[in-house]
Amino acid sequence: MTDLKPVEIEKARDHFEIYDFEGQGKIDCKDLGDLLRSLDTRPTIATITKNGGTKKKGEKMLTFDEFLPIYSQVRKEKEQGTHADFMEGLKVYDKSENGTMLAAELAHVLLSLGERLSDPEVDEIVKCCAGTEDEDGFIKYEPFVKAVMAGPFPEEAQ
Amino acid sequence: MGCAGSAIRYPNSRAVQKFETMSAIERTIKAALLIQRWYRRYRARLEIRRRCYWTIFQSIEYAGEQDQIRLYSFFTDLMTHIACDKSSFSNSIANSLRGRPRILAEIEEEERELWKETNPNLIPIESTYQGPHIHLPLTADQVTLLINSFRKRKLLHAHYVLTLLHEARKILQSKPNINVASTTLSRHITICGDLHGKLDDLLTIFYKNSLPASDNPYIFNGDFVDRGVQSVEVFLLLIACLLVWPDRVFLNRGNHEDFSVNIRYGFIKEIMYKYTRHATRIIQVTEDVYSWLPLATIIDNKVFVVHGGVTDRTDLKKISRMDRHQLITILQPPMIDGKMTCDQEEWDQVVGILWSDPRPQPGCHTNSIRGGGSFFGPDVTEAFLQRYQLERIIRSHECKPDGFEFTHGDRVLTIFSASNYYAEGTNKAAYVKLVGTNLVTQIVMYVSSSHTSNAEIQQRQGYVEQSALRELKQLIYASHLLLIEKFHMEDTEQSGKICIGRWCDIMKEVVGLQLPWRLLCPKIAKLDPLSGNVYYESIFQEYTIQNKLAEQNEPSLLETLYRSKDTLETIFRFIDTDGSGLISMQEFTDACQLLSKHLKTSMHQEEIQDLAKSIDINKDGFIDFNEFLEAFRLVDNDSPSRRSGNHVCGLFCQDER
Repeated sequence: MTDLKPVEIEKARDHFEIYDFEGQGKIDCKDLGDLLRSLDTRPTIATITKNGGTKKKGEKMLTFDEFLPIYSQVRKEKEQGTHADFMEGLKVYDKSENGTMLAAELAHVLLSLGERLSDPEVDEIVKCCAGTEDEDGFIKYEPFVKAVMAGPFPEEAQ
Repeated sequence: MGCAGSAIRYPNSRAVQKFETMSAIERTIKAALLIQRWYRRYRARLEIRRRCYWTIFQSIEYAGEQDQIRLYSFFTDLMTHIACDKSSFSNSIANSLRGRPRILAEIEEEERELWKETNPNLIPIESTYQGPHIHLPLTADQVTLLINSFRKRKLLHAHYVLTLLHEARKILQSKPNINVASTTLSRHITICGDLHGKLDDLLTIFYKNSLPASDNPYIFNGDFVDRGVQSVEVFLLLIACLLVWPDRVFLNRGNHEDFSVNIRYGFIKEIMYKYTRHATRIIQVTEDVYSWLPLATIIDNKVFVVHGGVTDRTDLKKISRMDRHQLITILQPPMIDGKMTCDQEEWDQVVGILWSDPRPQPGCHTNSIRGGGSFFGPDVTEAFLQRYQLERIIRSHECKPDGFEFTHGDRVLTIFSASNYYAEGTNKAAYVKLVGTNLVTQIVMYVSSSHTSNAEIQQRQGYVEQSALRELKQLIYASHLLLIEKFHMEDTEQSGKICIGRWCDIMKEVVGLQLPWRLLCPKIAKLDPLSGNVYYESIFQEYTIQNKLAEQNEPSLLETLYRSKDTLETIFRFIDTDGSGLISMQEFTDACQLLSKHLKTSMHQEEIQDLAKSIDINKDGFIDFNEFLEAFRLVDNDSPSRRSGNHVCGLFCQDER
């Protein structure tokens, strides 16, 4: 754990304590993903499962000491994706090559490819980040990507 | 457009593949994965903030309940004390303490007394009355009339209020301690949780699910009143429904159907504000109605519906047999001359089912955060269900973000029907329908209001955080002097800063709340960017506590009183037996002394007397304690004319009387 600064460990401990609902010093592995992500990492669901994350409550618990190495490991993962990578991927749907795509196609992509989102999740992300559709249902995807990458409280820089 | 199907094909990451060399579909999948990961991170960051601020509201609420329970156990001790030593307190306090709860030995005598003092005919209806008129027997049309009138903010005349309450008494007296509900005729039943005076939520339920009817039974699972500003209307509406459909509407008693709790959480204040000189009578009958409310309901011998939960000692036979009417208040066992008039065991049983909360840990432990009832685990639930051959428990008592929560392997369902309970944007509400022979669960969520429902999630969260921080700051300011003292002791070099770890410890200790202080620190105080240390004085720069009526007085005394404002108010209301809002100077001094005994802090007699003199503006020997309490304000240091703090009176305003 020598690569984690004391400040980072304290922050991890604070977040851990919020998910430690019983005050027993343990979290439920169902929340492992959310906990890791709240500390600014972006692991895939596969990575989380590999590190012990579960789908249902009550299956497995983790202490803080067991959690730290997982956090340390996940932080190191590269391939986080840049703005350019997003743009490249979505360009496929940009038929007119003018920086817009159908909001419905974006929703479809998120719902059916990769580690799929659910309907309410897609509704939420489109509502928050995609701005308004024009009358034909097109949105500008660059501001969308920027908004998602900025996170929910952009005024508080990480 | 080709779909990816169910298998996730991760682009080959071993060779760091260039984006351009991937096929179009691989590129799209990669983009999707990236967006999804970023989105989930976005969500998780929002979630942790939400949980953090939820904790603030919940901790403050439960700390208040704990306070109230402690106060009442202090009263109980005092009463046993007073019975032996009559000289220790002035007469008025002694009488007030002895006078509550009222127990008269014979039930017929009690009925006579109650009728004598609260007969509706004692209150004639003026010709100028503009509100709704009702007459017995109550009909469904009149319920609709009441709803429409309440929507228009009309007040029901005290005469009619007493009429309804007395009728309700009669019906409730004939009910058993544990209601029996059946779905054979209706094939479904609807259960609602805490309403807490939110009339708009009750009306939403009736709108979505129709009014009660012979084929539309309802169970209202307690906590109809307190905290929301239309507790009177909610309570009257439920009573009215009970009168029209007495065998289709089931009311369970909650821990807030209790004068001792209402005195702190707003129902008594609301009644006094809306009904002034008739308030005392209404409160008297209401207290009696509470004691006749059944304690639980069992549906089809399968589902146990109760407000709080169960404990490992819960004994339904004992509960069925007891005389529930003895329990005027649940915070204090019924007493005459310092001795309990009911079984300690019976009282424990009722506290257990009305105050307990389910928890994932097995076993049964004292509910330390509320101060009453237990935490019960899945094993306790199983044992209880097996013992009585029941299938599930439906309970309320705890606010949940979605208005409901399953726990204990889905054997326990919490249902909470007051939306935006803590503040705008904090939670949805829900009600549950059990349908068909198998009583299949259908949950309906809703939010009744206003501007935050359409707001984006970050906006709503921002709103919630502001509300939470405001409440927290009030508590922090209430302990200003105590905190500064501790900070100075810690800051040996007089640098104005202390390390964040110690800051958290001191805040937790003095404010008395278990919160994620380290996370909240940057929101409350200024931090030194280099060392991360806290400039502790910065917390107090925004506001000052003031009480215009008592400006000349000792600041530490004022602060102690402000910090215990709710407790002090309880004591005042207790003493104010005629509901006038006025108490004598002697009673005021006694109340402060009682408070100092309870808090185990010292308050100088002369300081209290000076304070009393300065508040007695008319110099007539009487103090308006409402005015005194309302005069406490957090004054904004930047613009002293703008004030935050209680705005209670504005909320209760009705258009007509």
